Amino acid sequence: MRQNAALFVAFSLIAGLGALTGAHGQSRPPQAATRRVSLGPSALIYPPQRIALRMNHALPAHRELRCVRCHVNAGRSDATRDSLIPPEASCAPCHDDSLDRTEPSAARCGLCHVGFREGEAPAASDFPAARLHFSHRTHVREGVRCLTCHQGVERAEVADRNHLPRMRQCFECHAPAGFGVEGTASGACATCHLTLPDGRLRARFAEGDLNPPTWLFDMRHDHEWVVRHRWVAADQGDTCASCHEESDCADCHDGRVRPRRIHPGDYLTTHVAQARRDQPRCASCHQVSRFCGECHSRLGLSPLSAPDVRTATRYHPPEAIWVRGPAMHGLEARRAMNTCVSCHSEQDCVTCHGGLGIGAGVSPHPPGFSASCGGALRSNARACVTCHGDIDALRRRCP
Amino acid sequence: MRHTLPCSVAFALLLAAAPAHAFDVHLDSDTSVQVYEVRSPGARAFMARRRLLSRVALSVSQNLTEPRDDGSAIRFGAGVQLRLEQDFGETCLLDRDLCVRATDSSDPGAWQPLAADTRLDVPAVWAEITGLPLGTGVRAGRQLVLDTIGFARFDGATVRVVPTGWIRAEALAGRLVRGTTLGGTARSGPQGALRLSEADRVPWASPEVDTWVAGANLAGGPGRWLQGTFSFRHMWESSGDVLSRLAAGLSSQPTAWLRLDASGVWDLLTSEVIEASGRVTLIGGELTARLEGSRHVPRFDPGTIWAWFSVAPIDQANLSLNWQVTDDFTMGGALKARHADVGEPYAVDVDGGFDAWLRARWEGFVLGVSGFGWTGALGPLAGLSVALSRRFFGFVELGLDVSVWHFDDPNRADLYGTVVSEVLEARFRLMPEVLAVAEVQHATSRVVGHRFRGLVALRVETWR
Repeated sequence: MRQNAALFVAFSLIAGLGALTGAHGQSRPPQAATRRVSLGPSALIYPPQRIALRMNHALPAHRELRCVRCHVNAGRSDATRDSLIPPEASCAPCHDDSLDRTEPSAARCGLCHVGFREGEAPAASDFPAARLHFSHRTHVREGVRCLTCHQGVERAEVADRNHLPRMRQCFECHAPAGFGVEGTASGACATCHLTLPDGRLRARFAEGDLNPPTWLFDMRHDHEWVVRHRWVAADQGDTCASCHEESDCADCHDGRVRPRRIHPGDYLTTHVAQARRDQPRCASCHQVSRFCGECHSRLGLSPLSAPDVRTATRYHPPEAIWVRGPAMHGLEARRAMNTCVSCHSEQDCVTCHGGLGIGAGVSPHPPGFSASCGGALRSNARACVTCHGDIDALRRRCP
Repeated sequence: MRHTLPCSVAFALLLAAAPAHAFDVHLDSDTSVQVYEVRSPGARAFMARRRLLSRVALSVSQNLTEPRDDGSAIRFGAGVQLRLEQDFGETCLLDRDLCVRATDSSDPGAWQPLAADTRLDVPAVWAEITGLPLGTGVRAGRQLVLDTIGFARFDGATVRVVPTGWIRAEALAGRLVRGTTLGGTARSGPQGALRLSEADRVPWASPEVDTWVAGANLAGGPGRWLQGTFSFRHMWESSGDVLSRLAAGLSSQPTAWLRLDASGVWDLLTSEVIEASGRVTLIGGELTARLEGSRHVPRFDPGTIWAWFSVAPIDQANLSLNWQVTDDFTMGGALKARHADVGEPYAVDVDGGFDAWLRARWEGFVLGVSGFGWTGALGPLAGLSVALSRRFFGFVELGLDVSVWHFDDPNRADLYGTVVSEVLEARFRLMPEVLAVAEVQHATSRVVGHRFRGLVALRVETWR
C-alpha cells in the first residue's frame, strides 16, 4: 500500500506542476475568442482561432454588402492557407474616420480591434488554415453561393469557426460512394481531406486523431466502438481503409501487447470470469488452444502440462461433483467450450466419450445430430474417426 | 529453419525497398519490452516473462500514371512486415528453487510442445496494382481479409473490381496461414485445431497440413437507404472441409437521424446461423440511442471434435444512450441482458448488467470513468476504472489509470475476490514520427498478492 501511495503522490505532484506550467505557458486569447462554443466543428480540421477583430455581419449596413465587397480575395483562392480576411482598405469607404492613425484612441480603433488600448499595438488575430483542400475559386465558378457553405454568418456578430462548412453540408454535393446518389461532385475523401502518400487520409495530428461523426455509417469511435466496430468494419471496410491499414487491425487483434482498453486492470487474474462469458470474445484475437493453452500448460494447470510442472491439485471442483455429479462439466462445456479448449486436448474428451470410453453412452453432440451426421462425416471425417474409430461403421450409421 | 528463409526474403525486401527513391515509402515499427510474472493460485509453477516484441513494416507506393479527372490513377504498392517475439524469461517451480526449460524438447519432464522462446512471423508480404480499368485492383502475397465472416490471413491473390460507385466485388484464393505456413503463426487459424510439426511426439496434436481458402465478397447498394454486403468463404484440406460460410449484411440510413443494420453468418457445414445481429440507431445532434440484439454460436475447426459438440448459443440485447453534453464532456450508459440456452436437462443462463461511462476534458486534463456490473446465472462481476491524463510541454503525456474489479469463478473455489490495479503511464512524443511509452503497473488481490508489470515501447512511423 505504501508503494501505491507513493505512485499516487508522485503523479499528483507532476500533474500539479503541469497544471501550473500549462496555465503560464498559454497566453489567453482576447475576450471575443473565449466564448464557449459547444459541439463546434472539429478542432483538428478547423484549429481554434484567436479573433481580435470585431465585425458584426448582422448589422443591416453590412448585410447589404456583397461578400466579395470585403473578402476581395475569396473568389481567387485555391487553398485554405490563403488569407481571406478583408484588408483594412476594404473598410475605408465607410470607416475612413476610424482608420485615421494620427490620433489612435480606444473609441476609434476599438471599433474593430477588440480590447484596443492607446499606446499599445492592437492584439493580433490568428486564423490557422483549415486542414482541408478547398478552392473557393472552383466553388464560385460552379455557382455555389457563399451562404450555402457559410450558413448563419449573416446573423453573426463575430464570424468564427462555427460558420465554416461541416462535412455533412459538403455531402450535399460531394456524396461518397455508398452514402447516397445525391451528389454530383467528387465524393472521394481526398477531394477535401489531407492525405498521406499512399492515399489514406491524414487522420493523426499532434492534437489528436480524427474521429468520424455518428451519422457517417455509425462510425463514431465512441465508448461502445470497441464492440460495434466489427459490424461496421465488415459492412464498410472501404471507408475504414480510407484512414486505416491492415496493421491497425493487427495491432489489437494480433495480441502483441495487452491493450488496456480491452483488458483493463489485472486481467491475468480476472480473465477467467470474462472468458466464461466469452466477453470480450476471446477468439477475436486469440487462437485459444494455442495462445491460452501455452500459458495454462506452462503454469501446470492443464492436463497437457509437462510432468515436472503439473500441479497436484485439481483446477475444477472435486471429481464427484464435476464429473459424476449432475454432469456439471457438461453444462460448463456447453456454456463455454472455449475455456475447455484452453486447457484440454481432444484426448481428454475421447477417453471417456469416445466409442469405447466409459462415457460412450453420453453423447456430446447436439440433439438431433444423428439425423444429420452424414453431412458431418462427408465434410470432415477426421473428427468422427477421432472418437468413433471405424469409419466404415460410421458410414453405415450415417448415410 | 522453417522460418529463416521467408524471414530472410522479407528482410531483403525491406533493404531493397529502402533506396527506392522514386517511391513513397512508409516505415512503421514498434518495439516493446515487458517484464511481468504470471501466477495462478494452486499452480506449482510461475512464469517470469521478459518479453521483447518487435515489428517492422515497410510499404511503398507510386502512381504509375497521371491522375484521371476523378483523381484516380494506376498505382503500384507493396508492403512487408516482420515480427519477432522473444521471451527471455523462464518457467520456475514455486516449491523448489528451480527453473525448468519448457522449450527444451530433450527434457521430457519440462518440455511444453506449445512453448517457444522465439517466434518469427511474417504477417504480410504483398504487392498490388490498383486503379486499372473498371476499378480493378490485384493484390498478391500474404495478406489479411476481413469481412462479415471474420479474419483470414492467407498466401494468395485477391482481385477486386469496382465498376461503378455503388457496387464492389472481390474474389480471393490461396493457402491459409496457420502455424503450418512458412514464417506464419496460427493466430488467425480456426479455433481448436492444434497442428504441430512435432505431432509424432505429441499424441494430442495433429500433423501440419495445408489448408486452402477461397472466397468472394460483393457489396454495394443504390444509396444510403440500402446498402448490402454478401460474403462466401470456403476452406478445406486433405481430410475435408474446414470452414464453409455465407454471410450477408444490410444497412439503411433513410434519414439523417435513423440507421438500421442487420447481419448474419450461415454455417454451411452445420446448417445453422452462427452469427446474427441487428441494430437500430437514433442519431440526434448530441444524443445517440442504440438498441441492438445479437446471437453468437462458438464454432471450432470441423477437423476437431469440438466442432460437433453441443454448445450454447449466446443471445445478447443492449440498449444504450450516449450524450455528448459539450465538446469536452460526454457521458452514457447501457443496459444489457444475456441469455444462453444450455439445453436439456439443464436450464437457461440469464444475466443482466449495465455499463456507464463519462469522458471529460478540463484545463488540459482528460478524465475517463467507466464502470460495469453483471449479475445472474454466471455470477457477479463488476468493475470500475478511472483514467486521468494530461499533456505537458506539448510532448509528454502522463496518465494514471486506477481500476477495481470484483469477480468470482464458480469453477475454482479460490478464484474470487477484489482486484485493485494502478497504471502509471508516460508517453513521450520525441519527434512527430517517434513515440516512446513507459508504463508501470501494480495490482493487488487476495488471489496472487502483488503483481508488477513494466513496459517500455518505442514506435516510429514516418513517410519518405
